[in-house]
Amino acid sequence: MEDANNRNFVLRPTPGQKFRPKAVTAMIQEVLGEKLGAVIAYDENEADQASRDISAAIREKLKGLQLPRYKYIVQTMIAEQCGNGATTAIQCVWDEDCDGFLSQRYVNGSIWCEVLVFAVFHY
Amino acid sequence: MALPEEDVHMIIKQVLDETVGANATYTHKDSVQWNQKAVEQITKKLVAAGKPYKYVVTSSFLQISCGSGLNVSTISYWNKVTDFSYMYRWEAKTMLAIVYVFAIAI
Repeated sequence: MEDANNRNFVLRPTPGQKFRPKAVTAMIQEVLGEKLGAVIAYDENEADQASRDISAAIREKLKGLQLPRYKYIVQTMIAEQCGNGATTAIQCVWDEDCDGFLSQRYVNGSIWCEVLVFAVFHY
Repeated sequence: MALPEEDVHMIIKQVLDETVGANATYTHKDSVQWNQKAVEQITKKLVAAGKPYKYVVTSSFLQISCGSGLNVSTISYWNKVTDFSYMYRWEAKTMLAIVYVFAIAI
C-alpha cells in the first residue's frame, strides 16, 4: 500500500493520504487572518480581489498537502456586516468514505467571510 | 456529457420558485428551512438526470435590507474537461439566493 499514484486501480486513498478536514482548519484560519486582518471597511473592488486571493492561497496550500488524486473546490464569500440575515445550505452526492468538506468563518467588525472547501477523490 | 447549463439553471429556478416564491418575506427561521429544502430538491433533480457525476450543491440566502455588499468567488483544482461548475443567482423582493452546483466526473 505505497503511494496511491503507483497503483493501477485505486478505489480508496491510503489512510495516510486521506483528506482530513480537521487538519486543514488551522491553515484556513491562518490564511483568512492574514488576508482580512487589516480590512477595516467593506469595499467592492477590494472584496473582489480579496476573495480571489483567499481562494487561490487556500488552493495552493491544499496542493501543498500532496494528497494524490484529490480534486478541490474552494468557495469564498465575503459580505458586508450590517445586521442582515444569511444562511448557507450544502448538499453533496459523493463517496462519504473518501471525500470531505469543511467550512470556516472569519468575522470582524465590518465584514464576514465564509470559506467552503470540498475535496473529492478521483478514482 | 454533463447536463447543459440551461438545464441546470432551469432546475434551480424552478425549485426556488416553488420552495420560496418571489413574494416571500425573509425571516431567519424560514430561510434556513427553505434553503435546506431547496438544496435537497435541486440535488434530487440532478441525480434523477442519471449522469455519472458526483454533485456538490451549495446555496446561500442573503437578506436584502440595507444594501450590503456580497462577494462570492470559487476556485477549483480539477480536470476542467470533465468537471463543471454552474452558478445561478435568484432574486426575490427581500432576498437573494446564490446557488453553485459542481459536477465532478466519477
